[in-house]
Amino acid sequence: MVSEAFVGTYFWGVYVWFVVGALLIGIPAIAEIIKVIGNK
Amino acid sequence: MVSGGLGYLILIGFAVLFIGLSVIVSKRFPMEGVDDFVAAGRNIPYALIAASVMVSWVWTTTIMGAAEAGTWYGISGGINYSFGACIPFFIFIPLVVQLRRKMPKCTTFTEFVQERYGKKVSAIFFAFGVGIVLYVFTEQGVGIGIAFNTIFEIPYQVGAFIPVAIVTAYIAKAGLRGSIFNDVIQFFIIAIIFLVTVPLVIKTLGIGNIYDGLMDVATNPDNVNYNPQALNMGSTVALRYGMVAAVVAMGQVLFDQGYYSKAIATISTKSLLRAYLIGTLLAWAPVPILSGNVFGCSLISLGIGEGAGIESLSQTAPYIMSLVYGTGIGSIFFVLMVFMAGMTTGGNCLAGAQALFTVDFYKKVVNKNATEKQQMAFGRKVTVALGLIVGVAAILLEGVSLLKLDIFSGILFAAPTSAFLAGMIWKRTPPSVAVASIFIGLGAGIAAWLIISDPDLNWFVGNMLALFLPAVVVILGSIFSKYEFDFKKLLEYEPSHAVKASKEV
Repeated sequence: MVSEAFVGTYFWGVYVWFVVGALLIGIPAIAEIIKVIGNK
Repeated sequence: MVSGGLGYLILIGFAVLFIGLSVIVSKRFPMEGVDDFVAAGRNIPYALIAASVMVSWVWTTTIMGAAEAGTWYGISGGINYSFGACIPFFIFIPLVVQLRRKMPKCTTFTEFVQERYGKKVSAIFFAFGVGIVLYVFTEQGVGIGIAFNTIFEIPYQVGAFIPVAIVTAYIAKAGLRGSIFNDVIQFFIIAIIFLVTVPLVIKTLGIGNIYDGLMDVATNPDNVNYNPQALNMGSTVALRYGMVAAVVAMGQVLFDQGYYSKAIATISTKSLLRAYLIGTLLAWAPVPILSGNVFGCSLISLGIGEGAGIESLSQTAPYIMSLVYGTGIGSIFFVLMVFMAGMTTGGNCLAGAQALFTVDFYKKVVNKNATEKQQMAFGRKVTVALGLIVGVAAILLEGVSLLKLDIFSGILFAAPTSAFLAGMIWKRTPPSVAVASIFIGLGAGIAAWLIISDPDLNWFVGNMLALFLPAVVVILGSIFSKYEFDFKKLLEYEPSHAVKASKEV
């Protein structure tokens, strides 16, 4: 059985993982949308 | 329960938003031909593709099913769901990179199969491609219908049919490009809900309390969710669940033309790699783990289970969301997640089907002298027809358990995988062996499922046989064959419509 510290690190660690993934898509996606809107 | 009027408002609001966006997209990027329609002109940047791939792979079950996995298997539930469903992308990504290099003017996977194995084998794969679209899209309609019916008391038929109709309208109008732009909006909605909800659940319940609750689940035989493996990351039952998830997901990725269309639509191979790796491994993979942890584990840590606080485990995610947000907002956020997840997955399927029929069917089967305009018009009509079929099927499936359909789909769509992969990398695999492997795998998988009486074992053996027996047939059949395919033929392939293939290949 895992410890409480492990569960905490695991839950928050996966959250950070998701934040990184979402930012790596979200920021350049916003930039692309602005580019599309600004082009015409 | 939340007001039904609000549910209708959500349906109408998003219908206006998504169909309106597809109208704007089709005006801003006028479609010059088939390639623009089904492959978005092959110039979409990585971030938009990554967002689209991520949300396309977030099914209603990625949230609700993974949450249930968390209640069944504890802390190893979500991660096994995630790794199982990620494995097909480890195969798909190098496969589609190869396809882009070996056959630069290819759009659909059935075009490749036709060049590699011939027309008859291509027809078999075409049937699998259409079958997967009907099955996956219908399942999304059912999921959304249940969510709207449960939360807003909107008639199930309306909640299932209207979202399918919205997706059908925007795909028919703006093709793949419209689908991708709508996916990006839906990516932001799903991402924001997760970014806010996860820390809120952890903060509200507290890691210490969640851990203590899970400890009780693992050690107290009187606990309604008693499971000695709840705090074990290496649970073997959960691992088996993950392995079956991989088999079931294999065909859902490899034979969903939507993923090929998006890969082909990416501006370069480098962007394709970046988009698919970030979209799947970085952004998608944590979603089911989070759902398993913060919805599933949190629920059982509270001592709640089936018949003890909730009627069914499918209520896991909405229960936790109502707990942290209050009934109104929590329910709305839950419906929005399911709504967006179902629509993007359905849209991916339908855009893929549109490509299959526009590129592979009309000019080859119906009208050999068709212009690209006629091909596109046919593609739009087929999209509407498929949307209607899916909408009606979703209505007819009210109250039917989709579990058997899921297991059967795993067997059905895993069987052609080996023939397809071998065709891509091995010149020795002849068409006859490819076809034999498909039907042997299918027969063995279905036979095992029907003959083995143990309900905990028959689905597992059926799925494994459907995936691995064809691999054995393909390997042995190819080793003893004198057949040799010349892959250079693929480089020279010219489709029946104008294609602007990337210059890098």
